Amino acid sequence: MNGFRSILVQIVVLLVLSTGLGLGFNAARPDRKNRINLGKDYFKKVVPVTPTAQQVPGRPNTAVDENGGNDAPADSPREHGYQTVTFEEAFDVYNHPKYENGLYIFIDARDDDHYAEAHVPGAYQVDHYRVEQYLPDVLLEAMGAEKIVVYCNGGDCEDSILVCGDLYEAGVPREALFLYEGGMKEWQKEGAAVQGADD
Amino acid sequence: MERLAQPVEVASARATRARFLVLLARAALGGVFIYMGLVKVADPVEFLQLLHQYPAMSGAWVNSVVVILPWLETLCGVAILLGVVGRAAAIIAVGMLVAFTPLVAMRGLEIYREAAGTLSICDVEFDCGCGAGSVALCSKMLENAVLTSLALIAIFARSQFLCLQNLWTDRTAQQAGS
Repeated sequence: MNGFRSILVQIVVLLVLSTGLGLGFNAARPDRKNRINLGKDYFKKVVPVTPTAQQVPGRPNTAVDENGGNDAPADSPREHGYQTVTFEEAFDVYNHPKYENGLYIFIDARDDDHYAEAHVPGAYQVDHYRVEQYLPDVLLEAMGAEKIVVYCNGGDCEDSILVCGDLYEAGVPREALFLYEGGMKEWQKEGAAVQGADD
Repeated sequence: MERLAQPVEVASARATRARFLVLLARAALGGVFIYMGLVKVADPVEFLQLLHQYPAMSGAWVNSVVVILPWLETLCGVAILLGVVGRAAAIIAVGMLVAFTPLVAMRGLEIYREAAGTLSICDVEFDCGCGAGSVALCSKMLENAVLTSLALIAIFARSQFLCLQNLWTDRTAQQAGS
């Protein structure tokens, strides 16, 4: 019985020590980018309010450019609530003159390694899991943009949806946010231009 | 005339072999846990993202798991390797393996079903978040079975060969005796 009790005490000691080390190291870790915010739900999807009253009569819920035509008409928002764009539509945004002057922007929702390896030329980066470090630098550009195309790797990657949520919560209007679901994988597969570590 | 080994000598040789086997089991298990734990300590964000693939791991409480579990793994690895509260550490190790192996298996089956016959079950490969990167499901199951066996050896073996805890208690006993 004594042996059993002794083992139990040792287990508790190990658990308490690990908890202390884990919490302490997280609070004090020198690489702040890897600090985990214990109270934050990192995977909470922010579904924006759909502004039905603001729809242009007879047109789907799309942004309208200054020439009066439809910009890259978006698909109906999926469960996540954001407008989506196909590769062709994203490519049109990339080639549009407004991309040069910052009225249209791309945001890469992946981490440093993926971004450095290859990203859409001129794309900003917002890492959702380190959003406090990334968002302030990008927010000013995002607030002034008419169209923001957010992407990650594509496929079942959800980071672009999460970054859309971060931008929306920071005050970027839903109408300006577009999700490129094909992501970097499709962009590269289609042979579109990329910028990377070698550039 | 050849001298036959005496029963005592045979028993002694067996005991020595057993001691070294137990030591090897502790070293292997401890080493793996230390490595896997430190990989997760170094990049908790990646660990968080990988845990999200398991339906059971949702909610803000998972953040605490991300922060504490790698240290528990590392500490248990050190304890098992050095033979200090090694038995307790091995019990925790078995607990972790028993808790996570079914989750990994279910995730592997989910990927297999999604592949709709394009993959065999053993070809299913994904990063389970254990710290070893992307691995094939069958290899992972085998690896976990081996680690569980090593942990059970560490729990039930009588040998305390090169256990720091015993060296410490022996020295204390000697000092008390003298």
